[in-house]
Amino acid sequence: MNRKNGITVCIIAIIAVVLIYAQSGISFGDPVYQDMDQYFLLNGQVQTGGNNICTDVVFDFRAFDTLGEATVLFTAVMGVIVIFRRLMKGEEYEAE
Amino acid sequence: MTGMDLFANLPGLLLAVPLIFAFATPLIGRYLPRARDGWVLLGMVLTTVIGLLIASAVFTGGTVAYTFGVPDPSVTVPPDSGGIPVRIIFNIDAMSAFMVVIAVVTGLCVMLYSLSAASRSSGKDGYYTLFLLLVAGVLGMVCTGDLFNFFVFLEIASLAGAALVAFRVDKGIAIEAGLKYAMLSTIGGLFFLLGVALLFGQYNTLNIAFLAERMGTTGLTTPDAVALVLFVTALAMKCGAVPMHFWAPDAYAMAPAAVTAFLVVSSQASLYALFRICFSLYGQTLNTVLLGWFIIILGLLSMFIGVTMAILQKDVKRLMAYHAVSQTGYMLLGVGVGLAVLSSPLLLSNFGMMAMEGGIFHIMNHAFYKGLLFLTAGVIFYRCGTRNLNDLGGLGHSMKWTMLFFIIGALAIAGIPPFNGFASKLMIYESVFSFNPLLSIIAMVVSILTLASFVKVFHSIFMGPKRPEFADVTEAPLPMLFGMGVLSILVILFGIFPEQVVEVMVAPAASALADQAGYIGSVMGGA
Amino acid sequence: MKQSNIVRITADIMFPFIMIFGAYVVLHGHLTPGGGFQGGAVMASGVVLLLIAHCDKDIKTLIPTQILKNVETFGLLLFGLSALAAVILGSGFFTNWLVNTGLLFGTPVEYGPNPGYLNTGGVIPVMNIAVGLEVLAALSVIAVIMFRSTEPDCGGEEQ
Repeated sequence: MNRKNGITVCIIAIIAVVLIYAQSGISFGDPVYQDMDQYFLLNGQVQTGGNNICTDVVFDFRAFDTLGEATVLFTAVMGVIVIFRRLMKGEEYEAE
Repeated sequence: MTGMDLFANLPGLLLAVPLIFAFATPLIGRYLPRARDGWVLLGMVLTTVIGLLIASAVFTGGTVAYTFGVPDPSVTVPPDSGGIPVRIIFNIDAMSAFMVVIAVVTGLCVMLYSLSAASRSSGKDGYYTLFLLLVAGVLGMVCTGDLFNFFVFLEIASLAGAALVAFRVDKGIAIEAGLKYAMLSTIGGLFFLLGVALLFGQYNTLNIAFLAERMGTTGLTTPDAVALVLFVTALAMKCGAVPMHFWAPDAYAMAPAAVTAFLVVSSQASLYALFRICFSLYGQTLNTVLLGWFIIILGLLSMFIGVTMAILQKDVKRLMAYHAVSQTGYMLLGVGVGLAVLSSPLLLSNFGMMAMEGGIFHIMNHAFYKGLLFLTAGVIFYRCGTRNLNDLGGLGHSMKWTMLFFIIGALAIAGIPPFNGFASKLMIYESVFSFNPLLSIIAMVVSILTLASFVKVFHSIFMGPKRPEFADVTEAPLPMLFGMGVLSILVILFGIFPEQVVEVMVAPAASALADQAGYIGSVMGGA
Repeated sequence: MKQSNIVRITADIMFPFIMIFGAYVVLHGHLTPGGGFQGGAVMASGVVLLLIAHCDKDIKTLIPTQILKNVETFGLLLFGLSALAAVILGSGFFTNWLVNTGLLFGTPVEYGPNPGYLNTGGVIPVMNIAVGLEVLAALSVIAVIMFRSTEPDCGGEEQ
């Protein structure tokens, strides 16, 4: 293992230790605050009419985030179309 | 539909309009190519109008909280939830409104400029779509009061920005810069997401105001501190502060000039988020002196290393990119001083608020004059086909307006009166001097170096005899001049009437940032 | 490069089943695990399977990119406009304006277990369909464009 790899491994190890230490402060499976989860479980079905609470959260309570995520995908497609346009058509570099 | 409903839904429309115009742009570009330019311009103008309406509502009537997905958007907390906000909330206080103004004004100028700047390149449908998406991403970042929602818009802005950086392809050089930007944005975004996860796991909410309230009752736990480190790292990287600035020169230099001008605003949206998280989310929970000094040191490093690297550059856009890093340092310095004295009301009122106002005012000034400078660099490249300072020269004979705009931008960035850079830098010098004279002196030295650097650029581009290879170079097309002209007028106006601007927009923004209880209260009620 | 007969025939047979399964996941997103993103990704995998199996043929006639791009735009606009319709009807952006109305997808639901009624969920199924179409088209377009750009022997000219 050369020196560069050694540094990389050290950095990853440090970050991993810090993150594991950080999350060890959070109780797993039994969080202190559960009120928002409970609200979704109790009211989601009636308010949104969907049996699948996950979908209720994703497409109703946090639908705006979902529009954002769909936009991320759209952005990726536009990026691919824009960047590959030269490769597809064999165009040359042109001025700004 | 009544007018009242539309007005109440303005924050939603602020995002809906650019997104829907962006979604439809490829379709219109395909089937109605003649209507495309008008379509994207209409989208940008509508966004600008909505943004300015929201900003004026906020500056006159206080914070606007907008809840998505409920019949009455002003109800942030559902009555049956036991006092917790469950949905995504836009919490637009004066600071957010200030950023919205910057984003929409710069966006409109850049869009006008793009209409002729992009006229020669292929793939324009993609260009305009991505530009509208970038604007929407920035607007979402500065308006949202929800951490995960912020992450989503950060992703949109990063991806659209990366694709636009790579837009000119340029035998793969631009693609490399775009890839670098995309990689660093992704790493930053994932750091941010990890931080959000650490907070969500403890407090079971994503709303910034509610998180701040719960964190205030619990006190700072270890996961909170780690999350803060993750947030600060990610956002300092995204705003281009030294030592995480290495993406900025590549990305700024290789992107089309119009895009660069808006990428500056996109970086400042990350800067805004850094301030928002330090002040509104952590705020009094934290030892703000330590964090304040950390941000001050980041600012000093950015200022000094940015300007010294800039002096060495031969590529005019790369040079300006290093100056962008350097100017970001001023904002970090000003607001960092405010953060360092946040816990002491006496010091805060003596000079802390003024330092913050200076830093925040500098965000707007920088967006305008640096946007202007990048646009002039773009015009020069558009007409001459090179950005190398050694090859340019004598353009003052043929591009008089561009030269004038360049002078305005250069004097503003160097902090010469009566341009806007002077106004905000003076506020920073004065207030930081009371905090620590040494910091203020460093800031002034950096300003002098900036001036020196731009004198050199001005001389090598515009002065000297007319060169034969640029004999047929003419003045920039009208839409480009118009876009630059609007920005220069703003630069001059803000320089001549800084007090009014500070009073109407900057001071409310600074006090909104410092007032954590007010931020919490605008979502949770009461306070 | 031409794939063997086994691969091509299996891909042809599997394609409709993959699409039907994806459509099922999308349409039942509000009742069973899954939703627009997941179902759309399943359907896109069917398109990618076709792409791999028939890479020697004319991709343009096999998978019409322009139609896929239009489908993508349609999906996103359907998503955005169904959210915006709430504003026009006088409530907030993204309000679920179809739920509990008795109209399309508007049957009210009681709290607790039920067999799963398709006609529920308000705008959730509409948005699921919109996102499903968008993800299907978006992932397919990315795959097709990257495929055609990296292996010019297999592809034709765009548009």
